[in-house]
Amino acid sequence: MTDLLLELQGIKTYFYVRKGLFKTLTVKAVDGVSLSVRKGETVAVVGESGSGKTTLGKTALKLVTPVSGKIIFEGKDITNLHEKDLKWFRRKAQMIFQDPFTSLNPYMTIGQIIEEPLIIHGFDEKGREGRIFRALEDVRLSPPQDFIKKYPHMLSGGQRQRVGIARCLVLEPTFIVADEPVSMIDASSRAEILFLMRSLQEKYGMGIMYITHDIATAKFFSDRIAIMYAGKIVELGETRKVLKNTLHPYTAALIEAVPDLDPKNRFKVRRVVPGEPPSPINPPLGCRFHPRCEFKIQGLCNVKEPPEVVFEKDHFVKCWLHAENVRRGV
Amino acid sequence: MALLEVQNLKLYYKTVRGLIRAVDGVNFSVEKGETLGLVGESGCGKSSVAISIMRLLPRNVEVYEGRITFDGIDLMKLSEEDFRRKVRWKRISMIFQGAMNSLNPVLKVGFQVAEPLIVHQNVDKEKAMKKARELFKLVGLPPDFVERYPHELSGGMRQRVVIAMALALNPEMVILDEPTSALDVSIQAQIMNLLKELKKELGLSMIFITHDIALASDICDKIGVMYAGQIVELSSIERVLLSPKHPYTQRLIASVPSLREDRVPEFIPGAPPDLVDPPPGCRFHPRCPQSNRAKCVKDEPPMIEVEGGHFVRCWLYNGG
Repeated sequence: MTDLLLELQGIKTYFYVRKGLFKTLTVKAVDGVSLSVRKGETVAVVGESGSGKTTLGKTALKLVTPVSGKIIFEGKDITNLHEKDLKWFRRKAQMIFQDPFTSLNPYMTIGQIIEEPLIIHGFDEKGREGRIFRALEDVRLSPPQDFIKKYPHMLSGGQRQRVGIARCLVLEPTFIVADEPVSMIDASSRAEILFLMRSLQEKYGMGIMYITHDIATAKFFSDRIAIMYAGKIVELGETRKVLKNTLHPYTAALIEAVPDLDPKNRFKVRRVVPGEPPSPINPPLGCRFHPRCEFKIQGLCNVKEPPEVVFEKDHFVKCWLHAENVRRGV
Repeated sequence: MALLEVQNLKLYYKTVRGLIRAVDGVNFSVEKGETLGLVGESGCGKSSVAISIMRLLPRNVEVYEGRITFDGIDLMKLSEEDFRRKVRWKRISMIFQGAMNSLNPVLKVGFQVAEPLIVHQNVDKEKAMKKARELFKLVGLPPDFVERYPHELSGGMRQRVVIAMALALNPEMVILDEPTSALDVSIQAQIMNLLKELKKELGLSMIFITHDIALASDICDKIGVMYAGQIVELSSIERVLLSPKHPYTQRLIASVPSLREDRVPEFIPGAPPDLVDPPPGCRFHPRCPQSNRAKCVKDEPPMIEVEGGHFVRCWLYNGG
């Protein structure tokens, strides 16, 4: 496919922690994930803390190198490229961080913050100013000449996050990893930031990996959605289809856990999955969700890893329940 | 008579930038067994209301006035010693935001739950630990977890410990400040279920502080929507969610992305005002799509009752 921007193939990203003198533990943060992002597309990666979603985002930007698997960006395999051969990629692939309060240097003005990537990438002084102004206008911090002189503490949370977006836009990236870009922002401003990212995407056509724990915002701001659990993608598909035709019990539980604005909620006990996500050091055998799953098939789910079951085009699930249904022809 | 009644509460902090009017004339009441939700954006003063009731004021408080009556007692008039001995934790306890991360790492969690019993009620350690086991069972933890240290527990379990701590002295009221904001959604749902059970079983009165109005619907009977240090709308949860009157409440509700409806979330342009120098007139007027009267810019709207028990602070409903 020509519109393919980024392809992750069988990515495994492990970390090693020393324990005591001789023991080393392996943290399998991402454990066999394949995911692609097309041009102009937003793929949401949804999961709870510890599911490996941020590590996946960092791997996609090659901020960490996977122990196996391939990262293919615009047709080139960049998995094992040396940092000095990656400068072109660093310019094209950018990140928006979660916390707009700590990800901006308090001693730098907004102008300096946005200018820094341009200096690093060797833009001459004349070209820089125009780009800074355009980026600020793009994120609707206008008039730009007022904002370049301000310091981060003079801005609201939403405005700071827009500075973070402007900093990533000045280099005209084709791929952006947005790691929880709105989770630190007041609910009333979240949609504003997300609408802004979408309109910029329509204008510049970049592919976005939207990492979030919030399946509700993912619903409105992604084309496809990948549900991660304990280092693996358990369900992947078009956002609307995944939410309407939910296949994996974990996806269903995530949806069930989100309260809606119904005054009758307080009289109901919400159906919840018991327990907590497993440790990535020693994940359970078989399906990693099986200890919490109410539909588990003894002797299967707790023994063998579930296969990928393609439900319809572009919608797959990793679950024995569906694998068995397919086998029996249901 | 209401269990807790807060009248014209003001709490101002002194800073180098000037006076911060964190709470500026707040009125509400909580009945026995009732849960009031205080909902608003960060910096709207909701946590300041909580520490005003608990009398846990930082040193830079300049103005602390109004009237807080709890079961007939004027809390502001009590001496610090009386308040500590008779009210705090014993009758009103609090679960602080992020408290699960402030457990003492070198003490067993069971002892930390038992400690208020030992300190406040002179119970001997053995009996207090027995009570801690009971409390653990009440909040859904295995009783032998009393022997564990905080690092041996997950976030959800630590939050349960903190809830057990708040319930140790059988208080009539618990103030919960964002009790689930540090938790994952699936764990949040478990904790909300626990709080619902406790509310029913123990007949607890609660003040539930959150920025998430959808989450408030999970437990609150009544909601006070706060904006810039004031309550702008106060009513039963049904009225606030289904027929919100204040433009801020309406916009806040519209900004919640819904998983079950196809409504596209909206946003409120701009940011909440600086509480050192709040805008004149209605504090929401610079962001309000309906502020078209001179009054909104000039005069502060009073709290008026639009229907029985439904209060709104907005000129739209006051003849204007």
